[in-house]
Amino acid sequence: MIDQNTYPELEPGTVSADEMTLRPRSNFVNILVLRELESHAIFTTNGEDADIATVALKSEDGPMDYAPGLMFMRKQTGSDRRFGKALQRDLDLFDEDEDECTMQVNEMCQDCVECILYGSAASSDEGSDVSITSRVMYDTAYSLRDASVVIDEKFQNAPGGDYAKSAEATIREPDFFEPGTMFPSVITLRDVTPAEVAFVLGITAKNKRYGAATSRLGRVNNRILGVYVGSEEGPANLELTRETIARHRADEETGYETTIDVVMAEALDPSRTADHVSSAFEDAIDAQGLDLQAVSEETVDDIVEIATGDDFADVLNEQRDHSRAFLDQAE
Amino acid sequence: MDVLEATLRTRGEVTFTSREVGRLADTEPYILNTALYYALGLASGRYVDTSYEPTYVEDTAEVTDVYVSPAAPVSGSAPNYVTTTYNATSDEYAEVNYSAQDDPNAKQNLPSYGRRRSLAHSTPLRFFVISRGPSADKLDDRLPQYVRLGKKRGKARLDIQRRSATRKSGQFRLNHPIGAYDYPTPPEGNVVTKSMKPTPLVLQGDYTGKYVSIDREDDDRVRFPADLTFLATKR
Repeated sequence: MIDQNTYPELEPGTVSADEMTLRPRSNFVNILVLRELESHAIFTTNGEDADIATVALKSEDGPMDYAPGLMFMRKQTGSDRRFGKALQRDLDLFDEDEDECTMQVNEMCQDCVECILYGSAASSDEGSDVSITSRVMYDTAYSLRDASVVIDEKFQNAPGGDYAKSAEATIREPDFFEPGTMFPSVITLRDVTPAEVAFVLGITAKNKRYGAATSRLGRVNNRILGVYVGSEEGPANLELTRETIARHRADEETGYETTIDVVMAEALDPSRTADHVSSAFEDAIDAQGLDLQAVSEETVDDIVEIATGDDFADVLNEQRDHSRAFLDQAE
Repeated sequence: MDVLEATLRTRGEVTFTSREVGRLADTEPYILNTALYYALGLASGRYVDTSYEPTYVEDTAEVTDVYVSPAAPVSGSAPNYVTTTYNATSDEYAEVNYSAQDDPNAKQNLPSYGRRRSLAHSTPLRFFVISRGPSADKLDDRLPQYVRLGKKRGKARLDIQRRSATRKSGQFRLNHPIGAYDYPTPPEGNVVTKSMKPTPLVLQGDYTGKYVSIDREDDDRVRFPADLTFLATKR
């Protein structure tokens, strides 16, 4: 089982299952993740171009900026939500006479753990005009390296098999993120139960496809670097990314001479990056005096193991009763 | 007396639907205090909504001795914008694509694609927290360092500075936006307003009466009518 008694470490940032209340309180769980691309991926909002930001950095020669590629928050939410729904179907969480819950905008069941945790808008059923606010919050992620090195345009031509061609535009050149691109990222959960934390950890550990054309591309390795609980949110991805770049620059073993060398590097070492992201997050907690404490690695591993195992259905089934009770308070 | 001046710096995209033009939702570079009270944790919303009516007045019934002004762009800085297209496809392997003429869902307002113009990262906005009750110190302790804002809960960082302020009386010009319903007396002249939802803003206006003048060191003083109350005329 996963509750506050089995994992007392989670207590400062979670609520117990029978204390879920409609009014927000200050219980936060911050899941620190390093998302690393293991294949090419497409993150665009217009189908062609990757989204790029301009971010200021401090360098040895004064202020400079670089242009990271973006992984918008909804690119992460959308994929994780779909994966969460699939996970629930695998675990037979839906009774036979129930309609399965889908991502169809007006056809969410609003009754399963996923809908109640991630939120949903009014369903198409008459009389059940409830909308639920998400208690899972994502943040736009910024690539550690510059767009000029992590993004490549690739020529695509879909000519068809006919000898005589009609005049159709079948050529496009979308932006692809290169494998090895890394995005430091935080998932924030507010007022959730330990079982719901496990659900999100399980999704994060198992979900490996993000972006467009996921049947061929978009494989991502989500490294869970740590879980931090307390009464507030931790630093944003933007700060984390900047700080991680500074740490790469200061890292004597890798020997980057300038900040530009880091953001323009051909590749960054993933495990060193993971260490830098973790220490950047922890130092920011100290420096900003945030009320957050780390959950031990054993506990996190333990929960991830349960959440990715076959018996997780029991946990979700029990959580489902509490989630429904939570929802019933609104009526 | 002391007043808190907060600088809000967006850390990712922050979306409000200030204006909807067809399939485009646009965000104005102002954040109304109707959103800030919740973001700062001074009022609590609800996770589950069944009424679809705003409850600003009820939710802030106990914090009328604190006034949070709307946030406006820091002078000299232009808001950073990002425009994105969204496309909410379903997760089914096979689905029916209806032609526009036979779409059974056509009459429902269920946009599955569109565009959003959002505030991008590092847009600085400024607002003030004026207290008639709790001391500025106590309020400062209560305010979070990171907040979530807008339709998609974009992340933003708050940096708070203490400013000394004096209460004066006479003629003065308001030079930081307030909600149009936050002060019962209408301005006498030089009025600049902005239509926003759910409450319009008064960006500038001349008033006579008691006011709070906030000393901002080298920068311009900011003047607010004294005794502002959030949604005063709606209570």
